[in-house]
Amino acid sequence: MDLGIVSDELARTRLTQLLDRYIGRCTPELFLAYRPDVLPYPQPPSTTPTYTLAGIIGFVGDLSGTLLIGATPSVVSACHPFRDQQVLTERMQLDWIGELANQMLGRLKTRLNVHGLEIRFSAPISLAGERMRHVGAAGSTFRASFVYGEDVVDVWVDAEIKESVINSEAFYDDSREGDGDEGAVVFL
Amino acid sequence: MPKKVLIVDDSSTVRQQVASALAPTGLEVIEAENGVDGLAKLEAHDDIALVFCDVNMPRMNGLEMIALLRRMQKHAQLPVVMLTTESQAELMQEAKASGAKAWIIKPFKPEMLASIVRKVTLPAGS
Repeated sequence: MDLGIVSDELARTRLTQLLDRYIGRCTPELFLAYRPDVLPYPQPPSTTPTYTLAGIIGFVGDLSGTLLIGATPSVVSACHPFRDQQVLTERMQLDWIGELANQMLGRLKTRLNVHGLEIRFSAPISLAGERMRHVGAAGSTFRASFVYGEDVVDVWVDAEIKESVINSEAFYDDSREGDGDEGAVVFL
Repeated sequence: MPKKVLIVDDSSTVRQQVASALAPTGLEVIEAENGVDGLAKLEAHDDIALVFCDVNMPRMNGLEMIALLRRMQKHAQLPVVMLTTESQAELMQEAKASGAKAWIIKPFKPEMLASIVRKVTLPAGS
Protein backbone atom coordinates (compact mmCIF):
# COMPACT_ATOMS: atom_id res chain seq x y z
CA MET A 1 0.00 0.00 0.00
CA ASP A 2 1.41 3.38 -1.00
CA LEU A 3 0.66 5.90 1.69
CA GLY A 4 2.10 8.82 -0.22
CA ILE A 5 3.15 11.71 1.98
CA VAL A 6 1.19 11.71 5.21
CA SER A 7 0.56 15.03 6.91
CA ASP A 8 1.96 15.78 10.36
CA GLU A 9 -1.59 16.30 11.54
CA LEU A 10 -2.66 12.81 10.45
CA ALA A 11 0.43 11.30 12.09
CA ARG A 12 -0.30 13.11 15.35
CA THR A 13 -3.92 11.98 15.24
CA ARG A 14 -2.81 8.39 14.70
CA LEU A 15 -0.30 8.58 17.53
CA THR A 16 -2.98 9.95 19.86
CA GLN A 17 -5.29 7.12 18.78
CA LEU A 18 -2.64 4.48 19.58
CA LEU A 19 -1.71 6.06 22.92
CA ASP A 20 -5.38 6.38 23.83
CA ARG A 21 -5.97 2.71 23.03
CA TYR A 22 -2.95 1.28 24.79
CA ILE A 23 -2.76 3.58 27.81
CA GLY A 24 -6.48 2.99 28.28
CA ARG A 25 -5.84 -0.75 28.43
CA CYS A 26 -2.41 -0.91 30.04
CA THR A 27 -3.07 1.34 33.03
CA PRO A 28 -5.87 -0.77 34.58
CA GLU A 29 -3.94 -3.96 33.70
CA LEU A 30 -0.80 -2.65 35.38
CA PHE A 31 -2.60 -1.74 38.60
CA LEU A 32 -4.69 -4.89 38.55
CA ALA A 33 -1.46 -6.91 38.63
CA TYR A 34 -0.92 -5.40 42.09
CA ARG A 35 -4.58 -5.47 43.19
CA PRO A 36 -6.42 -2.12 42.91
CA ASP A 37 -9.21 -1.76 40.40
CA VAL A 38 -8.20 1.37 38.55
CA LEU A 39 -10.96 2.53 36.23
CA PRO A 40 -11.09 5.14 33.45
CA TYR A 41 -12.12 8.54 34.78
CA PRO A 42 -15.53 9.47 33.37
CA GLN A 43 -14.69 13.18 33.05
CA PRO A 44 -11.95 15.03 31.19
CA PRO A 45 -8.67 15.17 33.18
CA SER A 46 -8.42 18.05 35.60
CA THR A 47 -6.12 20.91 34.68
CA THR A 48 -4.77 20.95 38.22
CA PRO A 49 -3.42 17.50 39.06
CA THR A 50 -4.18 16.19 42.52
CA TYR A 51 -1.31 13.72 42.67
CA THR A 52 1.68 14.33 44.91
CA LEU A 53 3.87 11.42 43.76
CA ALA A 54 5.09 10.97 40.20
CA GLY A 55 7.14 8.35 38.38
CA ILE A 56 8.80 9.69 35.24
CA ILE A 57 10.64 7.79 32.53
CA GLY A 58 12.13 8.98 29.25
CA PHE A 59 12.31 7.16 25.93
CA VAL A 60 14.02 7.60 22.56
CA GLY A 61 13.79 5.89 19.20
CA ASP A 62 10.92 6.07 16.70
CA LEU A 63 9.13 7.98 19.43
CA SER A 64 10.97 10.24 21.81
CA GLY A 65 9.57 11.81 24.91
CA THR A 66 8.52 11.18 28.48
CA LEU A 67 5.92 9.17 30.33
CA LEU A 68 4.64 10.23 33.73
CA ILE A 69 2.41 8.38 36.17
CA GLY A 70 1.01 10.58 38.91
CA ALA A 71 -0.83 9.22 41.92
CA THR A 72 -1.64 9.98 45.52
CA PRO A 73 0.24 8.21 48.32
CA SER A 74 -2.90 6.22 49.12
CA VAL A 75 -3.05 4.74 45.59
CA VAL A 76 0.67 3.96 45.58
CA SER A 77 0.35 2.33 49.01
CA ALA A 78 -2.71 0.33 47.93
CA CYS A 79 -0.81 -1.33 45.10
CA HIS A 80 2.58 -1.64 46.84
CA PRO A 81 3.73 -5.28 47.13
CA PHE A 82 4.50 -4.85 50.85
CA ARG A 83 1.36 -2.92 51.80
CA ASP A 84 0.25 -5.66 54.22
CA GLN A 85 3.64 -6.38 55.77
CA GLN A 86 5.10 -3.03 56.77
CA VAL A 87 4.53 0.70 57.19
CA LEU A 88 5.47 2.27 53.88
CA THR A 89 7.80 5.23 54.02
CA GLU A 90 7.76 7.97 51.40
CA ARG A 91 11.02 6.59 50.05
CA MET A 92 9.38 3.19 49.50
CA GLN A 93 6.41 4.85 47.79
CA LEU A 94 8.72 6.84 45.54
CA ASP A 95 10.68 3.75 44.56
CA TRP A 96 7.46 1.97 43.72
CA ILE A 97 5.91 4.72 41.57
CA GLY A 98 9.18 4.84 39.61
CA GLU A 99 8.92 1.10 39.07
CA LEU A 100 5.27 1.48 38.01
CA ALA A 101 6.36 4.04 35.38
CA ASN A 102 9.00 1.57 34.21
CA GLN A 103 6.50 -1.27 33.95
CA MET A 104 3.93 0.98 32.23
CA LEU A 105 6.42 2.01 29.57
CA GLY A 106 7.43 -1.64 29.14
CA ARG A 107 3.80 -2.52 28.39
CA LEU A 108 3.45 0.41 26.01
CA LYS A 109 6.69 -0.46 24.24
CA THR A 110 5.57 -4.03 23.54
CA ARG A 111 2.26 -2.87 22.08
CA LEU A 112 3.65 0.01 20.01
CA ASN A 113 6.25 -2.35 18.61
CA VAL A 114 3.47 -4.18 16.75
CA HIS A 115 2.82 -0.90 14.91
CA GLY A 116 6.44 -0.63 13.82
CA LEU A 117 7.54 1.74 16.60
CA GLU A 118 10.70 0.87 18.48
CA ILE A 119 11.82 2.70 21.60
CA ARG A 120 14.54 2.38 24.21
CA PHE A 121 14.02 3.74 27.65
CA SER A 122 15.94 5.32 30.49
CA ALA A 123 15.92 4.46 34.16
CA PRO A 124 12.93 6.04 35.92
CA ILE A 125 13.02 8.89 38.40
CA SER A 126 10.44 9.73 41.06
CA LEU A 127 9.23 13.03 42.48
CA ALA A 128 7.15 14.03 45.47
CA GLY A 129 5.64 17.49 45.64
CA GLU A 130 2.56 19.60 46.17
CA ARG A 131 0.85 21.42 43.30
CA MET A 132 2.89 19.81 40.54
CA ARG A 133 2.06 21.39 37.22
CA HIS A 134 2.61 19.86 33.82
CA VAL A 135 3.79 22.01 30.92
CA GLY A 136 3.68 20.22 27.58
CA ALA A 137 6.85 19.72 25.59
CA ALA A 138 7.23 20.36 21.86
CA GLY A 139 5.63 17.09 20.79
CA SER A 140 2.12 15.74 21.14
CA THR A 141 0.85 15.52 24.68
CA PHE A 142 -1.46 12.72 25.58
CA ARG A 143 -3.13 12.56 28.95
CA ALA A 144 -5.52 10.11 30.56
CA SER A 145 -7.00 9.94 34.02
CA PHE A 146 -8.15 6.91 35.96
CA VAL A 147 -9.80 6.53 39.32
CA TYR A 148 -9.16 4.27 42.27
CA GLY A 149 -11.84 4.90 44.84
CA GLU A 150 -11.87 8.66 45.26
CA ASP A 151 -8.28 9.11 44.10
CA VAL A 152 -7.12 9.95 40.60
CA VAL A 153 -4.26 8.32 38.72
CA ASP A 154 -2.90 10.43 35.86
CA VAL A 155 -0.83 9.18 32.95
CA TRP A 156 0.90 11.76 30.75
CA VAL A 157 2.88 11.02 27.63
CA ASP A 158 4.74 13.73 25.72
CA ALA A 159 6.01 12.28 22.48
CA GLU A 160 7.46 13.28 19.15
CA ILE A 161 7.41 10.82 16.32
CA LYS A 162 10.36 10.26 14.02
CA GLU A 163 9.90 11.56 10.49
CA SER A 164 10.85 8.23 8.93
CA VAL A 165 7.98 6.45 10.69
CA ILE A 166 5.03 8.62 9.78
CA ASN A 167 4.81 7.18 6.26
CA SER A 168 5.14 3.55 7.29
CA GLU A 169 2.22 1.24 6.67
CA ALA A 170 2.55 -0.58 10.01
CA PHE A 171 1.94 2.62 11.93
CA TYR A 172 -1.56 2.99 10.46
CA ASP A 173 -2.44 -0.71 10.22
CA ASP A 174 -5.36 -1.41 12.52
CA SER A 175 -5.39 -5.11 11.73
CA ARG A 176 -2.31 -5.25 13.97
CA GLU A 177 -3.16 -5.42 17.62
CA GLY A 178 -0.51 -4.95 20.27
CA ASP A 179 -0.66 -7.50 23.04
CA GLY A 180 1.64 -8.17 25.95
CA ASP A 181 3.51 -11.07 27.52
CA GLU A 182 3.66 -9.67 31.03
CA GLY A 183 4.29 -12.34 33.63
CA ALA A 184 5.68 -14.79 31.07
CA VAL A 185 8.77 -16.89 31.77
CA VAL A 186 10.86 -17.76 28.72
CA PHE A 187 13.57 -20.39 29.12
CA LEU A 188 16.38 -19.50 26.74
CA MET B 1 19.58 -25.77 46.22
CA PRO B 2 22.28 -23.07 46.12
CA LYS B 3 23.12 -20.95 49.14
CA LYS B 4 23.31 -17.44 47.69
CA VAL B 5 21.35 -15.59 45.01
CA LEU B 6 22.21 -12.13 43.68
CA ILE B 7 19.39 -9.79 42.62
CA VAL B 8 20.43 -6.78 40.52
CA ASP B 9 17.67 -4.20 40.04
CA ASP B 10 17.51 -0.44 40.51
CA SER B 11 14.16 -0.73 42.31
CA SER B 12 14.57 -1.55 46.00
CA THR B 13 10.95 -2.79 46.01
CA VAL B 14 11.71 -5.38 43.33
CA ARG B 15 14.86 -6.48 45.15
CA GLN B 16 12.82 -6.86 48.33
CA GLN B 17 10.10 -8.79 46.44
CA VAL B 18 12.70 -11.29 45.22
CA ALA B 19 14.26 -11.61 48.68
CA SER B 20 10.85 -12.10 50.25
CA ALA B 21 9.82 -14.70 47.66
CA LEU B 22 13.01 -16.70 48.24
CA ALA B 23 13.00 -16.39 52.05
CA PRO B 24 11.13 -19.70 52.60
CA THR B 25 13.81 -21.53 50.59
CA GLY B 26 16.55 -20.54 53.03
CA LEU B 27 18.57 -18.93 50.26
CA GLU B 28 20.64 -15.90 51.19
CA VAL B 29 19.79 -13.02 48.87
CA ILE B 30 22.42 -10.40 48.08
CA GLU B 31 21.24 -7.15 46.53
CA ALA B 32 22.81 -4.82 43.96
CA GLU B 33 21.25 -1.68 42.47
CA ASN B 34 22.91 -1.63 39.04
CA GLY B 35 25.37 -3.55 36.87
CA VAL B 36 28.46 -1.95 38.40
CA ASP B 37 27.27 -2.80 41.90
CA GLY B 38 26.36 -6.29 40.68
CA LEU B 39 29.87 -6.98 39.40
CA ALA B 40 31.31 -5.72 42.71
CA LYS B 41 29.07 -8.11 44.64
CA LEU B 42 30.09 -10.97 42.35
CA GLU B 43 33.72 -10.12 42.95
CA ALA B 44 33.17 -10.13 46.71
CA HIS B 45 31.19 -13.41 46.87
CA ASP B 46 32.57 -16.62 45.41
CA ASP B 47 29.54 -18.71 46.34
CA ILE B 48 26.75 -17.00 44.43
CA ALA B 49 24.89 -19.70 42.54
CA LEU B 50 22.38 -17.64 40.54
CA VAL B 51 21.79 -14.06 39.43
CA PHE B 52 18.45 -12.37 38.81
CA CYS B 53 19.12 -9.28 36.71
CA ASP B 54 17.08 -6.34 35.36
CA VAL B 55 17.92 -4.93 31.91
CA ASN B 56 17.38 -1.16 32.13
CA MET B 57 19.45 0.24 34.98
CA PRO B 58 21.61 3.33 35.50
CA ARG B 59 25.43 3.19 35.19
CA MET B 60 25.50 -0.29 33.61
CA ASN B 61 22.58 -2.23 32.17
CA GLY B 62 21.96 -5.91 32.79
CA LEU B 63 23.07 -7.12 29.37
CA GLU B 64 26.38 -5.27 29.69
CA MET B 65 26.79 -6.75 33.17
CA ILE B 66 26.31 -10.37 32.13
CA ALA B 67 28.69 -9.94 29.19
CA LEU B 68 31.34 -8.72 31.67
CA LEU B 69 30.65 -11.38 34.29
CA ARG B 70 31.45 -14.07 31.71
CA ARG B 71 35.00 -12.71 31.72
CA MET B 72 35.29 -13.42 35.46
CA GLN B 73 36.77 -16.89 35.55
CA LYS B 74 34.98 -17.93 38.73
CA HIS B 75 31.57 -16.90 37.34
CA ALA B 76 31.95 -17.87 33.69
CA GLN B 77 29.25 -20.55 34.01
CA LEU B 78 27.02 -18.77 36.53
CA PRO B 79 23.30 -19.10 35.67
CA VAL B 80 21.57 -15.76 35.04
CA VAL B 81 17.83 -15.07 34.86
CA MET B 82 16.73 -11.74 33.40
CA LEU B 83 13.86 -10.04 35.26
CA THR B 84 12.63 -7.07 33.25
CA THR B 85 9.78 -5.16 31.63
CA GLU B 86 11.46 -5.70 28.24
CA SER B 87 10.13 -8.39 25.92
CA GLN B 88 11.95 -7.79 22.63
CA ALA B 89 13.17 -10.96 20.93
CA GLU B 90 16.49 -9.27 19.99
CA LEU B 91 17.26 -8.53 23.63
CA MET B 92 16.38 -12.09 24.63
CA GLN B 93 18.75 -13.36 21.94
CA GLU B 94 21.50 -11.09 23.23
CA ALA B 95 20.94 -12.41 26.75
CA LYS B 96 20.95 -16.00 25.51
CA ALA B 97 24.21 -15.39 23.66
CA SER B 98 25.69 -14.23 26.98
CA GLY B 99 24.52 -17.41 28.64
CA ALA B 100 21.29 -16.26 30.33
CA LYS B 101 19.05 -19.23 31.16
CA ALA B 102 15.65 -17.57 31.38
CA TRP B 103 13.81 -14.29 30.84
CA ILE B 104 10.95 -13.19 33.12
CA ILE B 105 8.73 -10.33 31.98
CA LYS B 106 7.56 -8.16 34.89
CA PRO B 107 5.32 -8.28 36.80
CA PHE B 108 6.34 -11.67 38.14
CA LYS B 109 4.56 -14.05 40.44
CA PRO B 110 6.75 -14.30 43.56
CA GLU B 111 5.71 -17.90 44.16
CA MET B 112 7.29 -19.06 40.90
CA LEU B 113 10.80 -17.80 41.67
CA ALA B 114 11.84 -20.76 43.85
CA SER B 115 10.96 -23.26 41.12
CA ILE B 116 12.87 -21.19 38.55
CA VAL B 117 15.92 -21.19 40.84
CA ARG B 118 15.64 -24.96 41.13
CA LYS B 119 15.21 -25.45 37.40
CA VAL B 120 18.13 -23.30 36.23
CA THR B 121 20.60 -24.43 38.90
CA LEU B 122 20.06 -28.17 38.55
CA PRO B 123 22.65 -29.97 36.44
CA ALA B 124 21.45 -30.68 32.89
CA GLY B 125 19.62 -34.00 32.62
CA SER B 126 18.73 -34.21 36.30
